[in-house]
Amino acid sequence: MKETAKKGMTVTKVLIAAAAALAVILAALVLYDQFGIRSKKTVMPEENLTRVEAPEQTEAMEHEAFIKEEYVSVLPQGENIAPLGKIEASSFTDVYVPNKAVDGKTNGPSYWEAAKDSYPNLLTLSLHEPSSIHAVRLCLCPLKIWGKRTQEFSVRVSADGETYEELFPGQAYEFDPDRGNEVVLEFDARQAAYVQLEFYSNTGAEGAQVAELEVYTDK
Amino acid sequence: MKKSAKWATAPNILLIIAAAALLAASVGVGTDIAAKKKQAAEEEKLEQASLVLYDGPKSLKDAGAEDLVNTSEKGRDMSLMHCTDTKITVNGYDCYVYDTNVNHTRQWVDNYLPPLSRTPVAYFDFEGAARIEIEITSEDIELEQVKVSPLSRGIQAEVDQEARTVSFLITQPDFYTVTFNDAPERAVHIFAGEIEKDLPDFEDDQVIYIGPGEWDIESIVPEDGQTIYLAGGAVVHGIINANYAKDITIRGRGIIDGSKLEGWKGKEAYIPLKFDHCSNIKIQDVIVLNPNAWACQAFDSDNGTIEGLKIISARPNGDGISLQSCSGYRVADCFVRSWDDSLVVKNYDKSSREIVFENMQLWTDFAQSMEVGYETNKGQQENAVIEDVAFRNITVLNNFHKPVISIHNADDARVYDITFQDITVENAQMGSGDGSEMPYLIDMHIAQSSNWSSTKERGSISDIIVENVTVLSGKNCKSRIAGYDAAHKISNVNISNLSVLGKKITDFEQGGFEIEEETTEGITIGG
Repeated sequence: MKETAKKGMTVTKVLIAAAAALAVILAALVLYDQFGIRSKKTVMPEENLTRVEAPEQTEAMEHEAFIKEEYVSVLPQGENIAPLGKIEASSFTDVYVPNKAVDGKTNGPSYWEAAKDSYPNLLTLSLHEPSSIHAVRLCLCPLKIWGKRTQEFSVRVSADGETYEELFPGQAYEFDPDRGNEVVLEFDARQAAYVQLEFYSNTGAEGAQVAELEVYTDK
Repeated sequence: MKKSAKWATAPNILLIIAAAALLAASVGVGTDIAAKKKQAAEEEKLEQASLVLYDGPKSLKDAGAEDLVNTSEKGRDMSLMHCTDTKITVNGYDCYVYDTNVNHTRQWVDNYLPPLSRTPVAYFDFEGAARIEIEITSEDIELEQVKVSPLSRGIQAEVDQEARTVSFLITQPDFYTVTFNDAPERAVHIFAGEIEKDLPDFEDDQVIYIGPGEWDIESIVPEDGQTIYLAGGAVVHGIINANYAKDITIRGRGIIDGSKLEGWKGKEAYIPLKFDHCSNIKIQDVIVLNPNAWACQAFDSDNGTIEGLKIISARPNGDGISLQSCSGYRVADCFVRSWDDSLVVKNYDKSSREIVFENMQLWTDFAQSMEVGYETNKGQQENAVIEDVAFRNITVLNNFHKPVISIHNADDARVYDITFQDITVENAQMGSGDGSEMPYLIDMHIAQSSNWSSTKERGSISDIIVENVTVLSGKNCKSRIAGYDAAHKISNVNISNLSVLGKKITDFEQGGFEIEEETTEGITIGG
């Protein structure tokens, strides 16, 4: 009897526990369903979206900030006799030897550059024969990627390579790829066997740079 | 026996089963409620989220099956395209997906024409939360295993095999990469940024604004004090380079794309971001895709900042961020996937110092992930050094070829005070292809190299910290520490808290270290 009563009590306890658990679950379900814990299918409201639209285009466009007026270089009259002469420099860096300043090429690595921090830098051209000259033109690579720079230099000529006459005293000249990356200096014609440039600074490198030095004669 | 048999009556068993069922139901409902609560919280975040999407240029070609063929640039259209086999929505709204070039080749190709592949890339900005859904329309990709990196975010993507979609929710701006079946092919790169603040004054003459759309701009040469702003949705075919300039900012969400340029083949490199002999240059947020050589260079420059830059390169010598003879540089929060060194510090002229890379994600298809060297004194300067360089909190998603962490001194510089800290490698596959000659996790080497050396004398490496490095999966990799000779040693290297494939490495033998005794000293490893 005692054992049966004990058993009955245990069963009752289990039933009560089960009922309590059921009640808790039901309560949870009610809360879950009725009081908003259940998820609602939501999306981000459209007003929270900013869509940056693309312009109508069928091919790549040019950008007005980078369109430059066409620049046509006007060469001095006469003939460039620099390539016929012999060129020397006070120094050069890496592969940028002075001969590259009279090889007729301005693109790529075809330029002379003086050793860094070695100002003043001299670039001296011995003409193939004494000639009557009236202009010099200095060029850098015309590609935009070279960027604007300013070089300060003077120009002089000589009949014997020892005594020089100054044609242009030292001053700053801008080299601008949008303007051909060139500097043209014209002067009254005079007889010369040597043309010498002396550089004092360059805002675009640590030494003077010349992609091409041209010297014009009337011939 | 008798007692338990008495308990095992039918009503009791039924009661026990019922109680168990109720308990299971309670737990189930509890779990469900927790999940629903989480979902509800996420959805609340979504309701309050803000999103900025940038349409891609309408002129970009739709990538077709023929464009996805794995072949060299000679036999394919290299253009940046609109991706068609991978569609992405963010919070239910269409997000433009680009298809750019990548390179799965794991060996050097002498003619500079390795086979190239393509991969999808998308970007957007958000605040709050973003539910990303990727639909893969190509039947070539099975959605058996889907991984969302960085793994530290703990994102488990939901995959719907029938709809062929992968979706997941993000709450933090970051770079997310989804890979399928542990293969790099057609991995989806998603750059989820913060909504842009502190925009420059576009009325300012010093600010050049490049708006959405496709632009052909051969070269941009910013001048002192200028800001070049590439708006989200802009694709610029061109390069931005400056020489002897200062106080320049390059920023915006737009793309600088090199795909119209033929590969450099060792001759003409057009570097999308190149700043030589400059100071105070800031590069922020822009994306560089498919340069014709390397992607971002600073040479002989100081006090620079590179933040939020994203790079994916494919062609030979496609290094990511290359700092050459620079000082005072901070590079942070960038993503670099590259077909050559991802991050590199070297000396081409003066010494390098005070350089920090932090909070970066790298995917290195070729060469090294974090390299100091090989050139440490190409300019043959007196007393050249590389000092005070730190790589911190770097996650390497994949490293397929050469070492993850490397210091190679091929000249006579003194290389010292270099730190690699908190480095996680998700997939270490060093030694693939011709990387088998250097299949190392960590490699420190003083070398005389016909390729890299410019000085006759050799240098040294010292005071190196490698701390908290974890390799999560991949190969059980080796490491090497070897100086040159007794006079040119590697010294004072402290490696601590290194874990490879779940195992703590507490001694050199266990970690597969090759240490040359006669050329090293003071090399320690600890837990």
